[in-house]
Amino acid sequence: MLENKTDKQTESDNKQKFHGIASSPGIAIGRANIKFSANDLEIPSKKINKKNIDKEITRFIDAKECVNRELRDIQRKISQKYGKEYSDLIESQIEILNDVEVEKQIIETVSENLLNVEYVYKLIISEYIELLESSQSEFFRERVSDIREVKNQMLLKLISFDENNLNEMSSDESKIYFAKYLTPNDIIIHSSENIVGFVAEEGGLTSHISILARTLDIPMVLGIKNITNIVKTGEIVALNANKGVLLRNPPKEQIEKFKKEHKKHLEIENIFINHRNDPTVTTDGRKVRLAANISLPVEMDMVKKYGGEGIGLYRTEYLYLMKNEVPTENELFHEYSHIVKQLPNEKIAIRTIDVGGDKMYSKLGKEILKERNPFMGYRGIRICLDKPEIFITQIKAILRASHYGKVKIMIPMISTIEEIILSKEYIQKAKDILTKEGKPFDENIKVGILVETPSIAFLSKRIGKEVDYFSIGTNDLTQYILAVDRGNDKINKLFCHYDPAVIGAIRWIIKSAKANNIKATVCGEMASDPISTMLLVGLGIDTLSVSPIFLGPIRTVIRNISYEESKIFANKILKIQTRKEVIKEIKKQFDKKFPNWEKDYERLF
Amino acid sequence: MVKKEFEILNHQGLHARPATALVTLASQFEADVFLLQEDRKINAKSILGVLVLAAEHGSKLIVQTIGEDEQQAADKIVELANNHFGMDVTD
Repeated sequence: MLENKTDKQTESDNKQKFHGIASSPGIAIGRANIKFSANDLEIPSKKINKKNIDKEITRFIDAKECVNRELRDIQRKISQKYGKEYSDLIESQIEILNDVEVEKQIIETVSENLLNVEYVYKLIISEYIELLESSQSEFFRERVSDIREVKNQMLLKLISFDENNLNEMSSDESKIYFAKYLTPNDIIIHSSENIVGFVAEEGGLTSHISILARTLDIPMVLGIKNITNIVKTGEIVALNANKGVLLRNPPKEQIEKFKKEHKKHLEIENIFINHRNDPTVTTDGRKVRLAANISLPVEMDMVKKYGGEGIGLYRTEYLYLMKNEVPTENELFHEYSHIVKQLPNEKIAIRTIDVGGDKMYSKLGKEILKERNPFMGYRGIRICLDKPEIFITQIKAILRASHYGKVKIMIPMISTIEEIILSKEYIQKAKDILTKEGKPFDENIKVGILVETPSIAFLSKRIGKEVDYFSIGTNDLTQYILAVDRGNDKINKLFCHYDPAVIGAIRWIIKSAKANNIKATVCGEMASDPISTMLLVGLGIDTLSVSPIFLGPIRTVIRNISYEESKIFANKILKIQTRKEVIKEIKKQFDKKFPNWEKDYERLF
Repeated sequence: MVKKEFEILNHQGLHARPATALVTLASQFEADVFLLQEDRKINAKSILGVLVLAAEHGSKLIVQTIGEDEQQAADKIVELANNHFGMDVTD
């Protein structure tokens, strides 16, 4: 039995190739950087000699200074890359690190009990964590993650001071970051360092960290089980995130092969960049607006680089999720107007917060995590209408930004007509307040909704006169229509936006928009999938809104198909009975139209 | 020693930003600054201490200051609390 286990151990130690889910495309080569969890660290207590008290305390002060410098450095980088608002994230960690009371307690305890400082530090800081965790209020409990992070950093630093083995990597070397699981904050923080790729043990295809990594253009592979226990910090690893492959200690020729592929990707990217201003018109002259989905101001660079015609979906959650409290109107205004001013002549649809569901969540009440059915629970507009002060603050910020360009409001998770009417009442209220305050805004700002619940899809024809546009969120629409939780590993194979029911719903929503003389956009992941483009164009979509890195490929498809053939194709698809056959037909048609696609644009598949 | 009582007016309690504002102010004084709530007494110059109090909207705290500038310290802290710790009134 024991022997068997050892065999297995050696096997996994020797294994060099791993497969996971390709979550953000690209290729990266670098040294592995494994995130340790403080819980994995065993910190034994050791008696120290009285003579060594000062030495022990100096060790603590030095470690603290070192972590301080590192945090300041990350903070500066985040601030440069993402803007000052996002560096608050690190500010609270710095405050915790430099807590005067903790330092006093540590010095006292080390001196009186003659114990090693890492043990004392762990003891004292854990006590604060426990106290905060037992707090009645969510606002206080949520601070625990910051304290844990500081604890982790400090313990790692204190230990490496002993063993001197952790920080031998030079700081400007490319690194690939490994963790059991990744949060959006991990990605923001580490993308400001020299991290060129991400690998995690957990995670699904449509989770929000994938969206974030993709929009930041950092390769990511998820779902490689147990990988943080196999790969060691400092080992050379190569990541082909187009195929979900990770190589450990790859031979030279493998690295060369990866580098060659990487070069090819850069060439393809250049083609897309050079064609960024080509109008997105079909061969027979139908204009399909091609806009971009973004989550962070920093992505505007990519939108401009690849030529997005405005923003079809600006997700505003990240600022809420990253800060320790609800952002103020001025902070939001600063962020939104910064984006609007970069594309003052293009339409920019700002979606009001869509927290809840699978999004990490803390500001508005953590009880959501305990919901039995979070996707059918307290999320999106339901939270905003329940806490109108939060909604009105955001609407005021959006309205103020509208003064600088062509801003539209987009409301998520609408499931009844009443919610639309009530939302519009609050928007009017926000306008009235701004008028009183004498702040300028676009009086005729357009208000649209995300059509993503079956109820609103059914009612879309009647609802059309209440709103200025429809945006079809295919991810949620698919999951609600098919009743499949896309985050559940056991059933996510059942999640498929090519199901005839989903395609039928999209067709109905587009028809309803036309009947009401309003525009329809698709902004879900389906829009970013080149094999869907012909179907969506054929169904009569006005706008496709895609992740910035997919602007090039989708533009290429639109410019090489005709509206007439797309309509015929869509009608054919609408008659098919099973999703299996739909997928087969869609792929067949795509291969026929673009036989060299996979060869030319391998990165995308 | 000076002791003064104040109430937390912020809707979200003495959480992240207000706590930081309080600690920043308290740290500017020579005097030791403590906060007392029921049987608990914490160092107001410690962010973790202030957070652990988890003082919510409406809770009453006593600031206790000991040292040369104790009167000024206590006055300024109560003033800060009455001004919602410098946050928006809706916060």
